[in-house]
Order: sequence, then structure tokens, then C-alpha cells
Amino acid sequence: MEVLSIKNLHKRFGKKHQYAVNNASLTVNKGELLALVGESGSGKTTLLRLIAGFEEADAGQVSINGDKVVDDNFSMKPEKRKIGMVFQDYALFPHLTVAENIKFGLSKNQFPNLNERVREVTDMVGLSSYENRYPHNLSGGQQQRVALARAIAPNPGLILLDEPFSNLDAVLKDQVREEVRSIIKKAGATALFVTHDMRDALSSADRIAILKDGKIQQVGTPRELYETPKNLYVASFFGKINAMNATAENGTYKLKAGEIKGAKTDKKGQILIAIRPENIEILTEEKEGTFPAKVILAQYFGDHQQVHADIGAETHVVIHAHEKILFDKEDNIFLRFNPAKIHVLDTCWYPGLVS
Amino acid sequence: MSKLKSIFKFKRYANGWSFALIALVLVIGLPIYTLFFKLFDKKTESVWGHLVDTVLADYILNSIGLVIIISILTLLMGISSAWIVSTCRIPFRRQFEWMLILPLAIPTYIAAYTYAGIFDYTGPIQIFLRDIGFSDLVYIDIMNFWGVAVVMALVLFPYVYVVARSTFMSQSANLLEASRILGSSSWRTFFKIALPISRPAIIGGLSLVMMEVLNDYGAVKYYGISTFTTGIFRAWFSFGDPNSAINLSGILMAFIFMMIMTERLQRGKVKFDEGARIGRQLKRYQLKGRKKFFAWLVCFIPLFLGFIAPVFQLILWSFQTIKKIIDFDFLILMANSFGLALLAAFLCVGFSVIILFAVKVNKNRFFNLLAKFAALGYSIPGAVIAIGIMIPLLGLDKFLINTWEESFSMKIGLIFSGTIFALTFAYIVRFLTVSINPIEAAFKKTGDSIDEASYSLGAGSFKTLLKVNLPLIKSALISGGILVFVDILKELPLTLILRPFNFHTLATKAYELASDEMIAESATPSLIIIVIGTIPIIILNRLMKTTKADGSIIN
Repeated sequence: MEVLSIKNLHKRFGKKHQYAVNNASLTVNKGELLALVGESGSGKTTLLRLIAGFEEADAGQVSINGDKVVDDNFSMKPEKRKIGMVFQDYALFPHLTVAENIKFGLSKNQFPNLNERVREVTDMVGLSSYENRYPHNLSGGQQQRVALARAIAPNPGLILLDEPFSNLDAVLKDQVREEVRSIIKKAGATALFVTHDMRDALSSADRIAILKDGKIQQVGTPRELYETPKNLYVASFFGKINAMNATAENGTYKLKAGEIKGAKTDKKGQILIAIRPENIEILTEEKEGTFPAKVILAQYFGDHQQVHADIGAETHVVIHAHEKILFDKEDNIFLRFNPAKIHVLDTCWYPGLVS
Repeated sequence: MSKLKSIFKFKRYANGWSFALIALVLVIGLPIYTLFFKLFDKKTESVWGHLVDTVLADYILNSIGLVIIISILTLLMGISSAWIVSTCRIPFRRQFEWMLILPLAIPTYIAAYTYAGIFDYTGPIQIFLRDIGFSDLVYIDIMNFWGVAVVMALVLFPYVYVVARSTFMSQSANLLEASRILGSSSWRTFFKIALPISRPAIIGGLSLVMMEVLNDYGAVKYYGISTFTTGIFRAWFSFGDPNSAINLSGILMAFIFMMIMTERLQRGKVKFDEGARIGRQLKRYQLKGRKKFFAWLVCFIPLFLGFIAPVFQLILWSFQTIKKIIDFDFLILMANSFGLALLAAFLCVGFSVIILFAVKVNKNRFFNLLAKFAALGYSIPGAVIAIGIMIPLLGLDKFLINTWEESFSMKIGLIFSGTIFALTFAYIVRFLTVSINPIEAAFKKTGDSIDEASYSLGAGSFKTLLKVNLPLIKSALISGGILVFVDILKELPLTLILRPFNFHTLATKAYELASDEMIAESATPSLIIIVIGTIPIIILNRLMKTTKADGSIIN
């Protein structure tokens, strides 16, 4: 069941500016934890604020639990949307205790015994003994759990989290990511969170949406994004990838430097193919279907070597080699591309970006 | 579609807060557009031509002359004492640090007649001179342009001192020490580094001095100097000629507008006072011998002449006359004064909250501009505001009286003009700025995400204001209210024009007594005003001391 559904959402700040959110469509299912990943300026925070109602869309629709909250010429007030939100700076009310903060959003109609609900929620986030403390007496991680508890307490249809881990130091981060995920799951809540850090998304989210220049590039599980990225931008989010121009013909990728047999694509003509560095094999002797290459740079990283090689025709590739042999500059090697791991990208996206 | 869209956009701002904001600004702006329209609407007879021929040049020369001379004097006193207090070790440095603000508690008119009394033929200076054998021939006459300039500068220099000190103190010690390591003497460091960096802030403080000078009526009138303010009074009361009063107000406002623009311009270009704010406290210069004494004098003389001497004199006079002054009428007068100030302060704080929260709810450039407009009052001299309020209210009263008489053939008195209503209204127009500033700063400090958190938890704007914002800005509400209260208690020119017949405040009573050659009798009400005027200074000083390392203030 869809908890959140966004259709063709548009937003720009002033007519002269580019769209901060450009034709975004997205759905989040019940019980799901979806991460919205993008660099700063990608429009991810704007998208979140549009859903919350703190910004007003120029066009498009948003529904929460089947209720239209944004439509053409209509925008429901934030306080009516039944959304929970965890702010980047937590935004705890400094003059209220932990319990009072949590109680703020609760109504007697929904919870006849408010104190009981407060206790339930503080138990859930493991802060039951801190109920009477003020926010400034709590650590950063504890403040965040209070913010989360406050957002969860009224049982909102959807919880939004804005950069929930950015204010935490690295040591705390790993632990908190896991905590936040388990609290949200325990509460049976549906959540959408925004982050610039792919590791946040990979460690906590069920699905990930990648945003660039206000456009949603791709939505999928971490594995889908890694293995079948739609374009180079999505692909490069997970580290290095080799992208090369090629033509596909009769089950063969024709590159400038040679041919790779065993292509499995229906596409014809000019295409952009991509292969991860670990899917290229380094051989010391020439075999059938290998490319002769020369090592330009070899870096030792312990568990693998990163080898930069020149395969001719001005094409450089990066290989992660797990062999015991250490390669060195000017070594002559032979490369075998695993055709099953070659992925065809949309050519129209960011052709200049090849890493 | 696009038309629908714009209606939709407009609808978004259609809420109680925006209506309240627009209504408030419309009312508060009344004197401003009255002046503006009246300036270009000349039908009735006027003595304006006569004024232009005879006294206008005097008004302009005296007003500008006072602004220039007092600016120079306050800069000299304010900057030098601030530099010594911030960078040198002198005896009682800590005490000087806050006591140098005290002269601000003495309104210019009180300083003016107190000094007039001190130098009077029967005053302590003349008596002393006669006692040590000088003949009556030595008479120091301060009742002139230079006298009033010095006296006003003595109580206005803290405006410069306060900003100069805070910028000197906040300048990174590293910066000043770097200059010393590079071989600069302390003098060179001051002129080449500290002063240029502090310039924008100091000129900001100086512009407050200028506004006080242009606003002053009591001091210049007492010393017989004709300025724009006294001119407005004369046109209004002596000639009964509102048009000339309005013309004078118009010219005065043009001056002030130019002043504000120059201040904005000079500040707009320079941005380097921020950023250089980190770093430890400067190690203060250890002065020795004559230098130390001289530095101490630079701090002591302004404090002595600006506060200690006049207050001491007032206390002496008060002892002589207090029995004569304190009677039942005086208590009524106190109650009037305090009650009125309290009422207006309360309204100012309430209106400030409504205006600022309306801007917070409706984020929009137009509303922002409206709020700025509402806070314009402090730059408009009290006499000008009074005229701008008196004219439309008189018109309204005339209209009401006539219609009432026609419909019910009954006579009624003035309803708005010449009543407490007009006076309170004028106070709000003039002093709304004073409460808006601290409250705006507090709202800014609370930030937007806390409001959004409240909305996301289902609270409406009213609950958000009541339960989240107001508790958080409580101390700003109180200090804003106190500042307005004190300012109103001291206020003279506006009160003199708008007060109801036979209605006195402490300020008007003190001034009336002094004008009637009863300076000693005026000492008691004057002292009450000064004592109350020191309250905000003490509060501010305590706030500065209790500021924690993270900048938050304990309440």
C-alpha cells in the first residue's frame, strides 16, 4: 500500500531560477524506509519540505495515505498533514522537558492517557529515565532519539527525516544509523529520509532514490542501483566505474580499442557501456578475447590493488585486482572484460562524467 | 491557469496574522502619510514665507551646527574612553567599563538645566569663584550654542562609547598583537587597525547621537537656540500655523533621510568587522606613571561631567526642595507618568510580537517591508510625530463633533486629540522600534525549524506562538518592555505637544519647573527619571556578565 505518492512535482524559487525540484515522481510503501540521496543543491531538502508543507509546489500532486495534500491550487497546511518530522538540528523545544516535548503533538482524543503514550515512546527509544531532563542536558545522540520519539508519538502516517545523521560524529554515526532504523521498524512507521551520504542510505534504507539537479535519477534497492544503474551519475555514486563508448552488433560490443564478445543487449548502434573495476580480470599472458594493455599507475590498498591501464585508442580503464602479483608502472598486461557484468547506460545522461 | 495560480498564491497569505499586520502598519503610519500629503497640499494662509525670510537660515545653521559639533565631541569622548577601557590596565577599569554608559540615563533637557543651574549666578561655581576672591566680573556664560553642544555631548557620548567598546573588545587579540609584533606602537595600532575596522559600527552609534540631537527640544529651547524642533513648536503654538510646522518637519525629515542613507551606504560597503571575531582576550597594555594618570582621566572626566557632577548637584537640590515638591498632586503625577508609560510599553510589546510573528508566518518580501515601515518611528523626531498625529485627529474630532451636534443637537468634547489616546498612540508610533529590535533578535535566535517542528506536530500558528515562541523569547519581551517604558518616561517634546490640558508627566513637570526658574524644585522629578533610566543599563550590564560561553543568556 502506498503511504506517500508524489506525481510530477515542480518547484522553483523565482522565475529566473532553475527548478529545484523538477518533475519528481516517487512512491513510498507502508513500512518502508526510503532514502533520498543527493549532493547539496540537488533539491532533496526542497522535496522533503514540499512533502511536509513548508514550501508550496508550483505544480504536481502529493498524497499521503490516499489524502491529497498538494494538488493544483491547493496546499494543505503542514499542521493538518499528519506527518512526523525529525529536523537536522532536531528543533527540540528547549523550554520543555523530554516528556513535554513528546507530549506536545499528542491529543487526548487519540491517546486518552497521554503519560502512558509518552512512556511507551520513551521506552521505545531507550530514554525512559530521561523523561524529566531538558534537551540541553542530553547528548547529541540522545537529542536525536528524543526528536525521533516526538515525531513518532502521534503515530503519523509518514515520518520525514532531514539529514538525520549529519550532526553526529563519525564514531556515533554507525551506531545511530542502526538505532534509527530499528526504532522506525519497531514503531511500524513509514519513513523518508534525506541524506548526502550514500553510506547513511545503504546502512539504513530499504530503497534509495537518487536526486540530481531536481530530478529523480533512479529509485531502487541498493543492489539494483549498484548492479543496474540507469546512468553514469547513479553508477558513480557507488565508487569507480569504467564507461566507454561502443557500438553493439550481433552480440558484440565494438570499442575503439577492440571487441568484447558475448554482449547481451537489444540495443543497436552507439551506446555507452559501463563495467565496475572488479569485473575486469588482469592476465599476464594473452588469451582469446583479451585486450593488451600497459599499466599507467598501480596503487596498493591492502585488500586490493587499483590499477590504471591504457588499452590503446586513448582509452584508460581502472581495475581492482585481487591477485597476489604486484603490478608496476609500464608493465604489459592483458585485460578480460566480463561480458555478463557489462551494463548499458542511458547515453543522454552526463556523457562528460567518466571516472 | 496563471491567473488562478496568482489568486492561489495570494490566498496563501490571507490569514489573521497578515490582516493584523496590515491594519497595524496602516494605523502606525498615520503621521508619516499625513505629513507627506500635507506637504503637497497648500490651501490655507501661512506664515511660511515670513519664516523663510527671517528664521529658516538660523534653524538650518543651528541644527546642522549642533549635529556636527556634538558628533565630533561624542566621537572624541566615546572612542578614546572605549579604547582605554578595552586595551589598557587602569585603576577601576571594570567599574569604568559599565559606568561610562550611565550618562545615557540623563535626558538632554535635564542635563541642560542642571548645568545651567550649576553655572548660574547663584550656582556653586560662581559662589566658589567669589569665595576664592574673584570679583563678580568673572562670569562663565554657558547659555549659548557652544554651551548646549558640550552639555548634550556629555550625556550622548555613551552611544559611541558602547559600540566602540564592543567592537574593540570583539576584535581578535591576534589581530592587534600581530600589529604590535610588526612593530607598531599602540597609537599606530589604534589608528591603522582598530579604528578602521570599527568604523562602520561607530558610525552606527554616531547616527543615534545625531537623531537624539535633532529630536531634542528641551535643551536647545532652554539655552535659547533656535533649531528645527523649536521652530516646529513655535509654528504650532505661537503662530497656530500647522502648514509651517509641516514644512519644517518635511525639511527635517529630508535631513534625517539623507543621514540614514549615508549610514546605510557606508555600512553596506564594509563587511570586515564580522569574521575577525574569534580569539582570546587581548592582553591589556600596562601603563605607567603620567601616562597611566592621563589614561585614567580620559575615562574619568566624561563620567564625572556626564553623570557624577550633575547627579550630585541634583541630589543636593532635591534635599533642599523635596518637602515642597512631594505632595498629593505629585503622587498623582507619578501615577500618571508610570501608568501611561506602562500602558504604552505593554502595547508596544504586544504589537511588536504581532508584527514580527506575522512576518514569520507569512514569509514574503512585502510583509517584511511593512514590518520595517512600522519600525520607522524612532528616526522621526517626537515633535514631527506629534504634529503628524495632531492634525488628522483634530480633523476627525471636528468631524465627529459636527455630526454629533447635527444629529443629536448635543455638544461633546474632544475624543481623540488632546487626550490620553493621542498621547499613547504617538508613543507607540515613536517607540515601537525600541521593542521590535530585541524581540526581532530573539525571534531570529529561536530560528524557523522550531516553528516547523511545532507545525509538524499538528499545532496551529496561534498555539505555536503561545506555547513555543513566547516562552522562548520571554526575556526579550521583558527587556523590550522596560526599554520602551524608560524611553517614554524620559520623553519630552512629543508629550509637550500632545498632552491633555493640565496633564503632566514627570518629564513635563520637571521641565516646566526648570523653565519657571525653579531648577532646584525640578531636581526631584529629574532624579526619579534618571534613577529609572539607569535600570536598563544595569540590566544590560548584568545580561552581558551572565552571558555564557555559548552566547546564551540565563534568565
